[in-house]
Amino acid sequence: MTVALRLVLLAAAMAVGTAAFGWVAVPVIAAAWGLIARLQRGTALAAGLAGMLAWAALLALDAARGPLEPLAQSLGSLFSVKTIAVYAVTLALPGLLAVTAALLARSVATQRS
Amino acid sequence: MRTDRPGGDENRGSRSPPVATTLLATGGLALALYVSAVPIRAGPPLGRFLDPVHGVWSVATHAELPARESHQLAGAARSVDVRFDDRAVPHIFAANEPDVWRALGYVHARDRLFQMEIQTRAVAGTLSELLGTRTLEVDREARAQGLAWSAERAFRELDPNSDAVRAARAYADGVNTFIEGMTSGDYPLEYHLLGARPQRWEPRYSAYLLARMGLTLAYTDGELQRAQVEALVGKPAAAALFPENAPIVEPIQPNGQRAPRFDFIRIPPPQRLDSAKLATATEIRHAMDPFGAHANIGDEIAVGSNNWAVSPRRSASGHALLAGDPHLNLSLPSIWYEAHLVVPDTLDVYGVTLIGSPFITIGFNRDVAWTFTNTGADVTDYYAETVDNDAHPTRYKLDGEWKTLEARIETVRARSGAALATDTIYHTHRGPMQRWGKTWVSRRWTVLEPHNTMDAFRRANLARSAAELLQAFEGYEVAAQNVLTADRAGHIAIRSNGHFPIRGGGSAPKGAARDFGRGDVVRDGSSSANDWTGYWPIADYPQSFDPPQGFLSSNNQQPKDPRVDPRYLGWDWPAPWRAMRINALLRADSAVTPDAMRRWQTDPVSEQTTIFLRAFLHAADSSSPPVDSSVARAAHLLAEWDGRFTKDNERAVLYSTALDELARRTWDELGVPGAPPEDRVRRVATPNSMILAELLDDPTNAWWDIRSTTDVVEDRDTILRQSLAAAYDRVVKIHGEPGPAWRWEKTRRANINHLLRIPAFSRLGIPMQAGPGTLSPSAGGGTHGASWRMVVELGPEVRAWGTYPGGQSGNPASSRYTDRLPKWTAGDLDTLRFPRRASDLAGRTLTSSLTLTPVTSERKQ
Repeated sequence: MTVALRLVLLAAAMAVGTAAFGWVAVPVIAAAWGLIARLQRGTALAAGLAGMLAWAALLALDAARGPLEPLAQSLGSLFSVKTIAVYAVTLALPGLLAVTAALLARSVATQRS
Repeated sequence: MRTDRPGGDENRGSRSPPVATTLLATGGLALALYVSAVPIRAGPPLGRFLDPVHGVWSVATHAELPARESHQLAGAARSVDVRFDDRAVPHIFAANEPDVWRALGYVHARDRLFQMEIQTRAVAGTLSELLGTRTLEVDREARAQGLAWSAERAFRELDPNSDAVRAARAYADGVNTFIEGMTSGDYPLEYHLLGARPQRWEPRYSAYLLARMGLTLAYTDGELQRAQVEALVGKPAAAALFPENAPIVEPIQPNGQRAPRFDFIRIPPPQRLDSAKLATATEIRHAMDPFGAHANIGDEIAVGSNNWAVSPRRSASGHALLAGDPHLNLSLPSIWYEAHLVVPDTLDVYGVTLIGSPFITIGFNRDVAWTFTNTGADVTDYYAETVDNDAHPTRYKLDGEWKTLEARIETVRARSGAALATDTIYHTHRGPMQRWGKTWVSRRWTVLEPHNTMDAFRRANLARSAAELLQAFEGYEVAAQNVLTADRAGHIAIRSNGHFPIRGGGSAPKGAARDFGRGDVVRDGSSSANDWTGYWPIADYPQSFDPPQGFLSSNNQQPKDPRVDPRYLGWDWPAPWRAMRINALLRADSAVTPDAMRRWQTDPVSEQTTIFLRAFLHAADSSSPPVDSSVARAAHLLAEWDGRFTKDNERAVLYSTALDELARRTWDELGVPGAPPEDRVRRVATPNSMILAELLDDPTNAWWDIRSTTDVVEDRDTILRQSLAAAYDRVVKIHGEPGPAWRWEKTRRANINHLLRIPAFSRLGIPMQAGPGTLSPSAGGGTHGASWRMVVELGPEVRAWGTYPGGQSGNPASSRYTDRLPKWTAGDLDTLRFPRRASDLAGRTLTSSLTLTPVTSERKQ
């Protein structure tokens, strides 16, 4: 399985997980991925990218269904930040959750084995 | 070994990662989980908030109306067809009235759910459960006022089979159907920000809404401010400054005059300050209004509603015309929501609904149109009570006997359920009692009395003529409103409608009462003779049906000419500048068109200006020796002014400032005691501008003299000149030399705040064509204004136009959130679609179709 395909599948799992269980699915799936792929290179990085990709895809779906940009502008104005920062924080959060969860899971798993 | 970023986790093979990496990962994950799961300050947890499916981003997905959708509607007997037109107005076609009310509840919830909850909580005193401790004192005050308590009692006392109760229940079915069908991703934006979820809607909440309107429209504590004024300047002066009868007589009930009558008197000079009395009055007022949130008597910021109607013989089309623009505190989303309710052969009514109510509040059907202005009658009285124990009273004295106080325990809670504050609210037979300073004062208020106002609206929606409409509103009790109506047969009518108390006589607190029939003093609670003895009979209400003059209007002014009926109805009436203007326009035009009525709603001329401008220019001309340069410049500029408060006008700002300076100087005796001399803005109360106009007729009255200048006695013209000079200097200081920077639109602006006062969701600084005394007045913070403008032509086919500041959606991301604002700002109106059949809305005029079907299991039964 290629790296890209693994990334897409992981992102899809996280997107589905988010839809079903909310944000908490991201670190859980990332941790599982950290355990499963503990012997592979780039495990945590892949998880982080997948988290970001998953939420980016979900945001794209939101945008297809409604006026996302005016909402982002309102939120930016609400929090006194630029609109792009609202998007950036939204994507950074699953990235951080996923990368740290995968990293921790992998660390624990490899220390025990 | 190769280590990749981040954290160096990428150890080939099974070699263990460094401990530092594990620690870093642990710390990073803990931080990420913390910000995701735990609220930071007042903000929501970021995980749920930013979740694209369940969080704030999902708000975008329901911002716009879907082209077509279908849902089940609990309790519905038949399918309901809801068509949203190109202005997002729902046209609800149902087989019966309860299904219409259910469907309206559903669409209200879909578009305005957060507004429904916040206004309900504001009445119930449960805002703290949603917003935290910052609203604790607001909640305590709401509970002390007893609005929810009285509304619940009134609702309980209604016949469960009455139409009002059936409507409230059906409406609640609709709201709750929507709420129960929601996922967290469907929540309105505000719930995401607050990390909260919607509460269920109870039928009694519709009664809360009416109580809230009562608070907005019929709550005054003028008695206490008046006591302060009396202490400052003496009773005779106070009575003249805040009179029972307006000195400019232009009543709602026509009195046969063809012009306003000026019943000017000489205002008695201010007497010496009574320090002890003032201290008591101030203590009481401060205790009652610790935040200074209540408007001062004389403030002209909150009123501005207008309505007028012309009979067929004075309209260009030969049909009756009606216009209305109720002015209220502006908010986003708006207080109003447009809807069209149809039940074949029964109901076909269009207009604006109050969120939380199943009826059209202002609007029209195929036969009759109606609208309101606030009457402003005195429907609240205060009673100084004698209690057995100042700290913990259990009894109060009435006619020499001790009576037991009812006690109501009110606990304000946090969202967690923890008690934030517990208060005991005492009740006499008159109503809730509060301690104001050293005095226990109970309040009787029509809003707290049992009433069935909801039923009046239901009957009004079904009326077939102006006469039937007035008959429907015979059951309307609070808050007192001037109901104006016109019908397709060409009748026009108006009636000041509501419960107006008849006050008993008897003893009064020492030095307090002068007139036992009046309600503008704090009355002695120890005597039942001071109680209300009933309400005015409807035949005595101010009213008129098809008057000979061929038109009717109301603008919050004193409803009856005191020469026609001297009985006490209220006091401190708003100046009738708007009434004078609209009546002048109506008298001058015998072929009125709907478009003229639309233009008049934002007419830039003020009758007030005529009087004061003349006085300013006369004072500037009559100076000897010649006036100083600022006065001359100001007079020169005002002399060339056309008197219009248009956005591009470059003189209105000078006039407005001069008027402000004039009030500061003239009413210096009413300044807050102890305030520094330079602070002439803060006053205990400010007489309204018609009293100032009255004073202009008396050039040497002692009120013109400025108390602080002991070596000189100022007269009227001196003060007028000083005001002109000060205004000129002030405007130059703020805006620079005369020119485009003086444009009125830079000064007069509307500010429409979001319900939570979130600037990002508010629309602030909107330039307005409005001025002091114009038909669309704007003053103060610009937060009041025309909440709805409507013009209706009652021809063979009823035609109507309207708009309000905002939009149908409460979702700030929606294009329908503020889509009506541009036209409202420009003074334009939309054509209101009034289809007879659902199929009449199609193609370009149809935005969305919603089918609400009975719940399947219910249908089988």
